[in-house]
Amino acid sequence: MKINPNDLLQEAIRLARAGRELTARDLFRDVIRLEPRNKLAWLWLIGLLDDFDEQIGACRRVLEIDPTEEHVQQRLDNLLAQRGEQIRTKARDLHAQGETERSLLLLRREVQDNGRDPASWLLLAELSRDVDEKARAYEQIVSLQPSDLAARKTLEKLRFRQQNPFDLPSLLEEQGRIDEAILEYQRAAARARTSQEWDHIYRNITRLEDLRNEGIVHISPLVSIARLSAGPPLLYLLSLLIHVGLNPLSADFIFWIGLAWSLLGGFLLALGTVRSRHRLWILLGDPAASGKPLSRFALRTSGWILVLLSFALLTLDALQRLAVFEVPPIPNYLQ
Amino acid sequence: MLPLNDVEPNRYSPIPFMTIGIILLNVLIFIFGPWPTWDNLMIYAFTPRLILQQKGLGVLSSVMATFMHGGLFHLVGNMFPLWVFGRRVEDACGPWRFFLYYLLAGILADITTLLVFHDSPIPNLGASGAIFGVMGAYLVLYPEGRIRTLVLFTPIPLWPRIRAVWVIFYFLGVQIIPAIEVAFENVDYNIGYWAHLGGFAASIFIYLFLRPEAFARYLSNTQV
Repeated sequence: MKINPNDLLQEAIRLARAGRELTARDLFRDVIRLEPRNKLAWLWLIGLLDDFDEQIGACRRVLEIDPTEEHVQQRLDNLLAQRGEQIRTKARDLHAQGETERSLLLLRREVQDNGRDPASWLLLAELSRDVDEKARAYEQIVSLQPSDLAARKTLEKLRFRQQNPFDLPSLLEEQGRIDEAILEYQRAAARARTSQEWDHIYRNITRLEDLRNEGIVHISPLVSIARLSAGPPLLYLLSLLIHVGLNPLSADFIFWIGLAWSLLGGFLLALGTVRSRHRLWILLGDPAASGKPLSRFALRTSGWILVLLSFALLTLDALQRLAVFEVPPIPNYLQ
Repeated sequence: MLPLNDVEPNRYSPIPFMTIGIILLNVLIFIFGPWPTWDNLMIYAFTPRLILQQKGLGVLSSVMATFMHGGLFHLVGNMFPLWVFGRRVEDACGPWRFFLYYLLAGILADITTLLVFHDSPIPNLGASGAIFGVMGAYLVLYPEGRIRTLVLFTPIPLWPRIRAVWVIFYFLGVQIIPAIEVAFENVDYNIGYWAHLGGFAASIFIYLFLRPEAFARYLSNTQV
């Protein structure tokens, strides 16, 4: 006997209305097997399914048959949002338990299925250690939320790191996070394009492993900057002392300006030498705030110029003195 | 005793460009620079009386004197220890900071001379004050270092590897008694003993010139 899908559908609707949901659901499934594009059966089925994924699948099927179904679209959006929230909670829990790879797998599956939820992309970017994956996630966030300036800035930073793969590990090293720095170098090794890059990475990994194994203490970049800033002004001050015959009170005012120059020059030199995150670098157009090689070179050059200028003051004064200098006669006891 | 070579390798940079540069500069100034006549010495060498009277080149004479030498033996005697001890000190500092430290040691050596012989009309020249500063820094940074040293006290010359601390203490020790004599017993001198001691004292400032990693290693009590 041939089954009439329409009769089956009417029977399923009757059973559903009578509260016999499980039997009705099976009948709706039978209808769909017979008529895969039966919109009414799919619509009823949405309300009878328990599983999130099945409900989402049913909604998508309806929208495929009739894209104008706004209510179904709304329902699908709600379902996707709820499932996204569930998956994010689970991913966070897994990450907290140290199972980051599993949490990343969940998130990757989620964003592959529903790429329109910025929150999932954000969590993926947060948990992933791969700079390329982070950048891809932020590209999606920016395309979904073009007005999100913070995301744009982060994307710029990530692109900088993609182009400068050694920036992040050296920054981590500065912060004393040696294990993480080694891990970043290992990741960079997987993407190394030339043998020179690979050699550079290998040398740094070996050096960092030595630091870790030897238990080298971490010195804050601020301490290093303060320490290295002091050298040039100290040299200037001692030079000035000699120049004025150990009588600092007789030093012209201009020489004290020279001391200020050497202080500033020493500071700029140290800042350009020690790698550290600093607002100054953002002002100089570096989104990563750790100083582009060219900016650092410019800062070091400015520092040298200031230090040399301060010593040029002493040199000029010395040459002026020489112009009026008369060589004393040889003392008798030295003849 | 003559230090010949430090047998330990460099850690950060294989070639000590600045040490080689300073040695070359000293040699070039010795060959092509002003001849040590009285007039030239009064202008270019470091004369305490002139400095205190604020006459002549002032601090420039202190710097010039650090790169001038009175004879070939004087030059060679200074450049050997500079090569032996400067190589690894430069490695720990980086070339330009090493150069600043070298100048600082030379200037501190001259300030010490000024304090002890403030009215002396005798011109001082030579890199030894700065080199003692480099030796002091070496002692601070590499107390376990070993130096290949030519020993001439024995009938047959020997060149054993001696702990740097003993080599440096030997050179420091032979300065102290003459330094006391010339300062307190009015003995004539032709060697800047006090400049050597002053230069050596500059080593307390080496911490301001070390590379960040070298400084961290120093604080961790491991090989710098």
